[in-house]
Amino acid sequence: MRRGEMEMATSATTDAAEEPRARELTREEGRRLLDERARRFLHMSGAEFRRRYAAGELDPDDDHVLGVALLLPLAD
Amino acid sequence: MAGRTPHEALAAFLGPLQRALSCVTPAVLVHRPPVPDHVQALGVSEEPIRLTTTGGGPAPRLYLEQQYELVKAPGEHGPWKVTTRAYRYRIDSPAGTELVLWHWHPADRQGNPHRRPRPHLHAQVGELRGRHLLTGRVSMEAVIRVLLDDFDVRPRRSNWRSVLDAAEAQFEQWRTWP
Repeated sequence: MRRGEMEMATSATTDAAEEPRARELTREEGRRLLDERARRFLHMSGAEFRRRYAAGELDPDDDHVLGVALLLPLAD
Repeated sequence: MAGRTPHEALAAFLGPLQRALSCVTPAVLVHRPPVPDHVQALGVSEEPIRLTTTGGGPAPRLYLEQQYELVKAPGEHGPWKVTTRAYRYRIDSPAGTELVLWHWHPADRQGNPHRRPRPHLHAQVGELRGRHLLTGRVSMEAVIRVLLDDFDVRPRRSNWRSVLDAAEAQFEQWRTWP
């Protein structure tokens, strides 16, 4: 697992009895994931991303800005 | 996807998507508990998403995000259903160069219509770079199929075609937009 990635079940399978399942995050887990993505792709914390995005300081047409912005509700 | 409760509708939405994702990666979808009538996020447990190729060479890199909303719906589409509100799908070369991006983000950060509200594609080559090439709405499953059909990505399930066929059939059956 790469540094900074959340530790999550990721077992491979072709067996229907072991189908991987989507994972429901707590608010804190969502906040950590948002923070990790903002730092990885935009070199700022999740909190800074939220503030600067709301203030219109980030280019909404930048692909990584869009990617992190779509994840904002994970931390709500 | 419809359900008797918000939880049931969300499970019906996520199940086929997760199965489709498992065709190319062990990563899993991540989301928050369902909250009706609020835009919510759907991400993946790692990004870029690790892929492998059939030939064992360097693999393309994948990015997937969606936003969705649990809404009341009439008839067979209800009483609860999930509707997609936005997406961003992206495939990079193994070296990290942007190749193709599918975007749909009809609202801006304040909820007002975006200046580019229609689904579009960015092909990051030559004179197409920076252009907004209009598309229909694109499913996550379709992007996974592109990876398997055209990017030499190794399937992780022997039944990947039937998994994607089933997921896309549900997508077509339940979508309420053109």
